[in-house]
Amino acid sequence: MSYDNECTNELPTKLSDFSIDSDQWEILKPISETSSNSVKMIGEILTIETVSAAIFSVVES
Amino acid sequence: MDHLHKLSISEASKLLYKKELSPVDLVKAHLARIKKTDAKLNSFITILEDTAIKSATQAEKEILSGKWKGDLHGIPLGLKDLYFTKGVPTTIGSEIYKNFIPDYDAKVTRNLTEAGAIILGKLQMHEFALGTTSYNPHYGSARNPWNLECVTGGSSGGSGSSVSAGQCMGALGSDTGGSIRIPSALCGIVGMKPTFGRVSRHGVFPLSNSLDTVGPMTRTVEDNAIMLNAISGHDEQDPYSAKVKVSDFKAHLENDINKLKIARPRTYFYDVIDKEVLTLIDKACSQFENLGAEVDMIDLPILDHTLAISGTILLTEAAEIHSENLRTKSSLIGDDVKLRLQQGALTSGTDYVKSQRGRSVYNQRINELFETYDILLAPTVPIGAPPIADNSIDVNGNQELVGPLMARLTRPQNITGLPTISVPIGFTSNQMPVGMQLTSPAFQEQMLYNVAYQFENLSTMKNIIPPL
Repeated sequence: MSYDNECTNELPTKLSDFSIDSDQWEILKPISETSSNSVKMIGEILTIETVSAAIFSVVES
Repeated sequence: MDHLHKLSISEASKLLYKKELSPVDLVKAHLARIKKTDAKLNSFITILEDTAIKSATQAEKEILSGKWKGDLHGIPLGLKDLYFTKGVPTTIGSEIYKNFIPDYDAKVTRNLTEAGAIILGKLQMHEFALGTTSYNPHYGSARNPWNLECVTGGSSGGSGSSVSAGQCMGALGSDTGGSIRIPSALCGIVGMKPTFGRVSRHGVFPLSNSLDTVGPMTRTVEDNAIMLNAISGHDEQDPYSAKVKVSDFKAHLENDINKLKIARPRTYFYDVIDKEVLTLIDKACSQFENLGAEVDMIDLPILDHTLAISGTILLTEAAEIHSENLRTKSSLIGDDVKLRLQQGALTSGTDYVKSQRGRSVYNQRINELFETYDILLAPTVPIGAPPIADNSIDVNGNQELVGPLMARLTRPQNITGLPTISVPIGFTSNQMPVGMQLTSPAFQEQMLYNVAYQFENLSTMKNIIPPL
């Protein structure tokens, strides 16, 4: 089960709430993916103070 | 009357106090300047001629009867059109709010009028303050007084244009990603983004609740300090308003800055920068060294996360504020702003939270810098004002998109909330102004004014008005 609402390859179902049609989605999809990828890089600076990261590392080991 | 629009606030205030200048004449001179130039500049959305003259007449009576209110008494100012003004249209630069008439004044509007200032009108801006050019599909583009074919910068473009052109003596802008500092730099004036929480935002239409700040734009550093004096202070109506002591920002302008320690980050701010801007920044650093300051090049790798943190937080919060507009009135929103709002609406909850958590670490690293240094120095905008018609611009042989480039260097200070002043440092070879920004620890605006004032004294860029 997905617990996130991250950008996917499929047309999200709630786009009409934001007045986004399929043409607009073609423009927005790569922008949103690029933006989300840049946010992932923030993880580099969160490791020291991220308790959850420590928990996951214990589980994996 | 022809020369009155060239006076600084400080100069005019002295004359008004001594009753050697009438506030009515001063206001009429600025209204005449607006009439002469605004067809070219498009700085104003609403001009308040009748109420301005009425207020000036009242100010004249008060001053003549000895009821002097201070430095702003009788001084004509402008307001970016997102400050609530009771009974006066407040459009937020949009079609959606073109008929919105607030029934109360913003706290800072009230601060200024209670200090005796005369409001000349409401100023052009990028729609919803969500853009860096002040290109506006509903009200036309604000135009740069130094070259009418070039952008003013945004989003407070009308404020930058009107102050620079001598249409008003000072104006309020708002700054969420650079919207005071960018037009200040590109129009050749002084702009202050105060510490987050220093100035009340009650009655100021929001863009991003955790990033928005409001502040003054003027032609001199002293004038800027005068305006910040009038609008600073705690306001319980703004939940983000800080309970901190308000100093007299004019009090230490003359202080020696010998032994001041200035940090100049060697990367990020210089990754994409026009060579002429870089040369002017180098020259400014030399001028600080001549004043006895120490300028050190430093590494600050945390800055690489600036755009991810700032962009995610700003657009997501803006999308939340405008969610109903996006859902039911999107056809009335300009294409560029609509795209940004939609991008914000699509941001995942996890990305927003990660950006806020990253912001905590980011702020910690920047604040550590101030354990060693007094000031962080950087260019305000990496280029001179580009032509309005151009979406991209050549920077040292590479094509760069204008919109993102304009706010690249101003976003860090909105993430941290630290006070930052932009001051003019010279012109490019095609005679467009260039600005430098100085950042201090939180609530140290008094020191920023002192440092900027000392720099301004060595500069030829003080109170400059372009030929129009």
